[in-house]
Amino acid sequence: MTDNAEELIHVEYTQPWRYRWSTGKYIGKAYAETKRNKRLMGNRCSKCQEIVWPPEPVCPRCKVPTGEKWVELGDTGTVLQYTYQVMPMWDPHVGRARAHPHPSANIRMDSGCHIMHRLEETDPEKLKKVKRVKAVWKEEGRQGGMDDILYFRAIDG
Amino acid sequence: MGNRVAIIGIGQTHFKSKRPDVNIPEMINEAVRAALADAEMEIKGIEAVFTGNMETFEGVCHPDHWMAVESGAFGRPGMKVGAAGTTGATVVDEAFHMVAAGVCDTALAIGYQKHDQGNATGALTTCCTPVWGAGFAVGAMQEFAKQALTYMERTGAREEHAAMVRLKADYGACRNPYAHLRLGLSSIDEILQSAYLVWPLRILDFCPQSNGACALILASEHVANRLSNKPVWIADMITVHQTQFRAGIYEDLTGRDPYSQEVAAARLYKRNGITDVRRDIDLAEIYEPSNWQEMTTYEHLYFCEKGEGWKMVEKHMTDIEGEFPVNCSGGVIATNAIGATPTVRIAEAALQIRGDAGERQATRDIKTALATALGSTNWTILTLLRRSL
Ligand SMILES: [Zn+2]
Repeated sequence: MTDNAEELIHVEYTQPWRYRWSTGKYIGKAYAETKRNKRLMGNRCSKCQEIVWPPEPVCPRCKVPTGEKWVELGDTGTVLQYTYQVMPMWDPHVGRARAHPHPSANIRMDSGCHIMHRLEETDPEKLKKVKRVKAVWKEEGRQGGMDDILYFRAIDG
Repeated sequence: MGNRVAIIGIGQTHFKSKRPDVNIPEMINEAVRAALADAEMEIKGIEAVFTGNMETFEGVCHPDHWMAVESGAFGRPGMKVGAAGTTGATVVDEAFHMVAAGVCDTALAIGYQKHDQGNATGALTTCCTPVWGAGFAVGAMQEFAKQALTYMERTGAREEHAAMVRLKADYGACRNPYAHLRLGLSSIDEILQSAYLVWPLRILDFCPQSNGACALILASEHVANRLSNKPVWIADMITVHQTQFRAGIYEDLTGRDPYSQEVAAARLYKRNGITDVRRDIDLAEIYEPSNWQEMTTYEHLYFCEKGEGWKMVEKHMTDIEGEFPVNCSGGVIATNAIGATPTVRIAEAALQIRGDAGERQATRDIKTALATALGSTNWTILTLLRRSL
């Protein structure tokens, strides 16, 4: 095209983006509960009586307003499926490549809610036996949200 | 339904990992020119223009305004649409509605992505819902991995079957001059030897980040019949949305299973008289987020019974030479310029119906084809194409 077409010039943009997202009435309530009281709270749908998790103003099943009937999910549950990272991958939430040492799991809480969280056990062989688990909460530095739980620890029966 | 609508022009760029030689409007323009050339039209014949991408990936706030000249939007109506991963089909849907409604006789739909200049992972941090998502870092890949494990436990599928899907995709990609990853894989052993990233997903189970654009020209019946000797008719399009983080609902372990695909497929088949999917449809181009999910997608779309997707792969039914070819193009795992990906699915399905797919042309004659789009919290768009209505 031109004499210096082989020189491909880019324009750089390096300004960091900063956001402050409102948590909202329902997620905000759940975050306040993890932060202050170390408990997971969902809201029970006024129609189907299922716990909506994460809490929301409208039940995804019934499409009706859920109301304000707050219930505890509890700290114990059963592992349904898990996986673990083998190689470091880019983690958008921390902005760098990392392999999270704690395996990711889908857990059915005894209250019936399904949640995603991490397992304390990191040995692939021992992981196979992890079924019943209990939340281990951060004692300090809780900011509201699921990261206020460190991970789930294997328990008996 | 409204007026009949046909695809009369198809254009796509060659998809690559880097395109430092062009900016976004220039890249779009390549696809637009290719579509116009394919339709033997000039831009003055286009009445409306629809564009879309994963917008924040490139950090450009009003990309449609930037590219108004190169897209053909200058002096015309149209709009930019955004629907996460389905955007590339949503642009076609918008054009389809405008022509079907009789608002215009011709419309141009463009899907694109220029991954190489932006920060896709940074943009995904702000993806729905930024509050809940940012608070807890369990990535999508871990969920895909758990889905794969659950699929194996439930159905008897093995890692070999995922490798067969990957090999099939590469076979198609190597015959598709527009595809991004053309690896020349020769056996499933090569795939099974690639390292695990997230157990049981391997490096070769992941799609690339591609750069490129795809443009389609849609026309009303009388214009299509006048301008084109091989129109491909859009028999129907359907959109179904789903919500996120709803593990446990709809018997879905991770909350990421595309319940929306089953709902969309059932509705689409019913209103188009499709009772036996593999008899009434000849080929599919599906949006498979990973080779593992290609097998479950067969099941969600009723190509086979539940738990039997892997058997279709094992029997080579979905090969280019098979009785029900799926993703002859190489699919998403070979090429993923996200905003363009669903447009490419429709384009490739249309090329198969025209018989213009070159070396990747299916062996059997393709009269009816299905193209799918899947995005973000499993929003689904299905497009049914026919050689004649
Ligand atoms: Zn309800």
